[in-house]
Amino acid sequence: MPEAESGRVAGEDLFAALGDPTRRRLLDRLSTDGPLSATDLARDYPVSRQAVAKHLGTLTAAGLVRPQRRGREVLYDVAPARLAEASRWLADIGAKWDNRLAALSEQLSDG
Amino acid sequence: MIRRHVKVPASAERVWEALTDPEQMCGWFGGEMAWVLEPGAPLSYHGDDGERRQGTVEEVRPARRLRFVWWPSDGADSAEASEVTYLLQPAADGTSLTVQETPLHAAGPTARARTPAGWSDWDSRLAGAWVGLSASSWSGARG
Repeated sequence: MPEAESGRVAGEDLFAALGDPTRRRLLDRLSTDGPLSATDLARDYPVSRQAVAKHLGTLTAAGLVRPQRRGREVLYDVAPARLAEASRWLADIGAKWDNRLAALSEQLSDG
Repeated sequence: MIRRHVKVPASAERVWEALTDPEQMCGWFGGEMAWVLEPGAPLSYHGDDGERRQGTVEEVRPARRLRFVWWPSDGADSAEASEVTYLLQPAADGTSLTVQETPLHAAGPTARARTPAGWSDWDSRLAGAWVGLSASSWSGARG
């Protein structure tokens, strides 16, 4: 299973996966209603099942969703740890820049 | 990716100095930066909080654009290399400054000059929304 893979997926893959609006919508849906199949997900969006399956492949490679085989279907669920890692990075680095730019603005206004 | 945007009441030349002169950086950056502003030149950072980073200057266009890549010096987490870009644009009564920080996929020199695709639509507003979404999604997560 993907969650048993050793090592971390590249940060670049993670953020590239999150950079697409369709994939963010799929993640949003899975986080509230998952696990769901590609067919379930395609029903709600104006994209083909094939397109949804491709996006799910990207999300799986980035470690953001976990596929699990159930009978003839593959169901997808959000992998919360991976999403937490992304949001922690955004929160930490974002807060640093907020502080830096506030101090910079002040410094330049004084001078 | 993080993207922040501020407008400061100073000329682009003045802002560039504050962004790049190590002495002036001490007042706002949160640590000491040692660097030479030439593409390919190494940089070294000692944060006031004890954080140590090293990296490489990538692109230098005075008063317009600066880009560098940096990563933790201890190498504890090789996934933590990121690229920082400053964009300066003259605006009415000052300068418009955009800062971006984007995670890269590997630490060290191999991380140089990588620019992840797919980010054009993801501004800081969306990133903020994501932080909120992911925080709220844990309660419903099943492990």
